[in-house]
Amino acid sequence: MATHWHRVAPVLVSVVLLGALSQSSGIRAFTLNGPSWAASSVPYLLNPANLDLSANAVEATIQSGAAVWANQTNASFDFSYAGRSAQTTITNDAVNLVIFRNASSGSTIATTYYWYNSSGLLDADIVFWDAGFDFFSGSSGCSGGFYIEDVAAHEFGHALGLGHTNVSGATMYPSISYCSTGPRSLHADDIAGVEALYPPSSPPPLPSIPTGFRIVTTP
Amino acid sequence: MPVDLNTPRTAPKPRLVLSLAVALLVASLASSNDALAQGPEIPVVERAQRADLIVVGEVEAVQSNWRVNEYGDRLIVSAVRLGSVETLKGQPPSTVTVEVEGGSIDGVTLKVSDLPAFTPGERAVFFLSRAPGRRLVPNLRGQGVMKLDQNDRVEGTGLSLAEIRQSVAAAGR
Repeated sequence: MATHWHRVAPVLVSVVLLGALSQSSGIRAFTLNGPSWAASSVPYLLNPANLDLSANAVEATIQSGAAVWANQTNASFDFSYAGRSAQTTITNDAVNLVIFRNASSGSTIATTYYWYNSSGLLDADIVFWDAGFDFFSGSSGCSGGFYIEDVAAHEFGHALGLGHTNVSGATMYPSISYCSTGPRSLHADDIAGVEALYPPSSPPPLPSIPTGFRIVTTP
Repeated sequence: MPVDLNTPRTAPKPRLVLSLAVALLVASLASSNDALAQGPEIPVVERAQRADLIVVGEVEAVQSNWRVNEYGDRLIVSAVRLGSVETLKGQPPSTVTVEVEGGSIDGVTLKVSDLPAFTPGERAVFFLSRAPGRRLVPNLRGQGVMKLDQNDRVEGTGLSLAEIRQSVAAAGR
């Protein structure tokens, strides 16, 4: 029997595209690493020495990346910037450190190392693999690299206790396109994740009641 | 690329269409690897080309130890011993033990965002590099490990072990 490829082909391609779309449309939502911080505000230090930008530029853009989790959500948690450090190594020392390392690590742009015990998170350190990629600040001028703010937003998500999500477009999606400025804007999936870990201290306002309705309470 | 709308339409060639469809399917299925931490995704064929050794194995034991790495970081590192090993590329040692950062000692756990953690009984495809001291480490870090489910498909995707075998074989041609 002869196969009519001109009829089959569009179906095949459609099936493939549907498969690709289902991969990116959120089969699974946010994941939690398990532990969270006991404190509602966690300090971090930055060693701004790097190959691409001034220390001041790095300092500003790292703070912007860290702040998205407090500024764009109602979570009862924030990272507080505690200043610069000259430290270049990481370990479980209760110093939450961000560093740029003149080394590469496969295809990884940055890595978060987080430590915990039965009481919760103890330490979180973020390493940017500076030799592997070019880094940029702001939101323009990037070419063949990554904006630090967006990578930092993702890594601080790990540092507060979030894992990866399969929701394409979310900050905690495991990969990023070159020069993307998407991750600095949290997706609803990211917000749901951080607010599950650190519930808002005051409940969100109730929706307004349409006129013409009467609330009746029952015992 | 702009397309001239006046170009006569012809039926696509069967093999080309089928190859394109399979390639797209494999690419789409491989693109949701959870082990990544923001790196650009490397196609399976390229991962296979870069690796010194590729094995499919079941985790038999995990032993964690403190280690100071080449940068001076004091970390917990785990030696993951594999059993029932099937070799897809290279010459493995008699006992395959993969070293990954992360693990637990005395109630303290280190997790690393771009590397998976292992428990005995799990199966995975390991794309490995030889590191100093005859150590075997995942090539491309998290992208060097593809955990398999009970149906021999990569977790979180539909990519099958059979398709990975084909990609590894294609990488060697």
